[in-house]
Amino acid sequence: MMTDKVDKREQLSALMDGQLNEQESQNILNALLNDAELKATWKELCHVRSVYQNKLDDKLLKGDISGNVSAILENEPSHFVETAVQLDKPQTHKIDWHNRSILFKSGVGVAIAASVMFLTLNISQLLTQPSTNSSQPGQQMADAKHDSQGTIPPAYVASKLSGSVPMPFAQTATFSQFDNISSQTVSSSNFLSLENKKQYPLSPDKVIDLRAMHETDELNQSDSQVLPKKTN
Amino acid sequence: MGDTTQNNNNDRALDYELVKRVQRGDKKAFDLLVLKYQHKLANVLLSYIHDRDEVFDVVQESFIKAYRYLPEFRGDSAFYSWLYRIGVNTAKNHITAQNRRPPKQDVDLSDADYMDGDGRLKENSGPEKIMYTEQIYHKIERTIDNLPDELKMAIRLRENEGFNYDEIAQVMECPVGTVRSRIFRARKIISDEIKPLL
Repeated sequence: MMTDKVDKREQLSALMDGQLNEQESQNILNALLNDAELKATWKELCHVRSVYQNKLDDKLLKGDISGNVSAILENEPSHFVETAVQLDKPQTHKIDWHNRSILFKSGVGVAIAASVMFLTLNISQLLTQPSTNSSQPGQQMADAKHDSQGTIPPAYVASKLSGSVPMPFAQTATFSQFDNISSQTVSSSNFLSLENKKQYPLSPDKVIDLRAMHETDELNQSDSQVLPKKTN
Repeated sequence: MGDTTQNNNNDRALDYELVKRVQRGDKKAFDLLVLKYQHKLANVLLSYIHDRDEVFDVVQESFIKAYRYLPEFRGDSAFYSWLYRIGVNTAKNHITAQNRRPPKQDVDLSDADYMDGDGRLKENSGPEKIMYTEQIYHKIERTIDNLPDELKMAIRLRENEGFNYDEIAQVMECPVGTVRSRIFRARKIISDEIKPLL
């Protein structure tokens, strides 16, 4: 125990001279920051060095502001500089980016899946929707073109999509355009609507509940409770 | 041998490690920097503020400012030279605030221990002050002279010649661990000797 103390003091002296390796420096610094005796030794060593190297006068040596400074800093906020952490632990930085990459990829995947699903919904809607239902002149023209060529013009699909893409805060309008969709498609649209509902300003607890239900495959049971009734 | 640049780099690395710890939220690491540099900075600021009682107020203010600006410190320069600039600016502001005239030119960092704010050799005036300074310094010198030879040689090579531990070990033909132990023991004896004077 005594040997350990002496050894630590010697290490402190060597630390002051910059003669320890990285690991030793870290270890003794950790000990120094949490040991009042070692801190007192550090203070003595600093004194000796100051006197020896700077030929200080006695009034300066007798002055000690360290207590005052630490008392004042008690009320100061602690610093948390991210770059310092990055310099010290580059591997953490890499892991962070890796995680972000995974999240980004999964986010893109979900977005693509949702887009494909919407495209499918709208195409199926177009195919099942009678051309007489079109109320706007532009749609009638597009329907006519569709009928004559047997293909769906991109502009028409785009106009349909822009009108039917369910906005998170305009779900009623969205539902009115799903009137002619088959029951299977409605089920899918309900799923999407539920996803949209998660973005409403619910209380945090409710959002968590919905997500929990999704994760435990209770989604189908809860659909009827969460979603508004579809009107024919 | 006695590579001063290497010693400065080692010193700088330790300071930067402490700075990084403070930047990560460890306030206690800043205490170590205060203990390490408070007297050195006070000695420099005596070039600007001749009242010794005022100097420590300015030193204290300088350290508080340094703590607040520490997130901006990126280690491009040595911590002490950064602190030195803060200290000098704080001293000038202090002088101006008291309707006094700050010095015409700054003291260069390398000359700071020897020059006053007007670029003259520091007078360290006052027979009383000279007496005390000499008293402490000579006390240290006498203590070192009275040390056992192996301790005396180790501390002289380190403090006077700036040798690193490997070099001292070669000169003294002993293990590095022994050098480390001898230097610490010498410092401990010196510290015990000057304590009554502080």
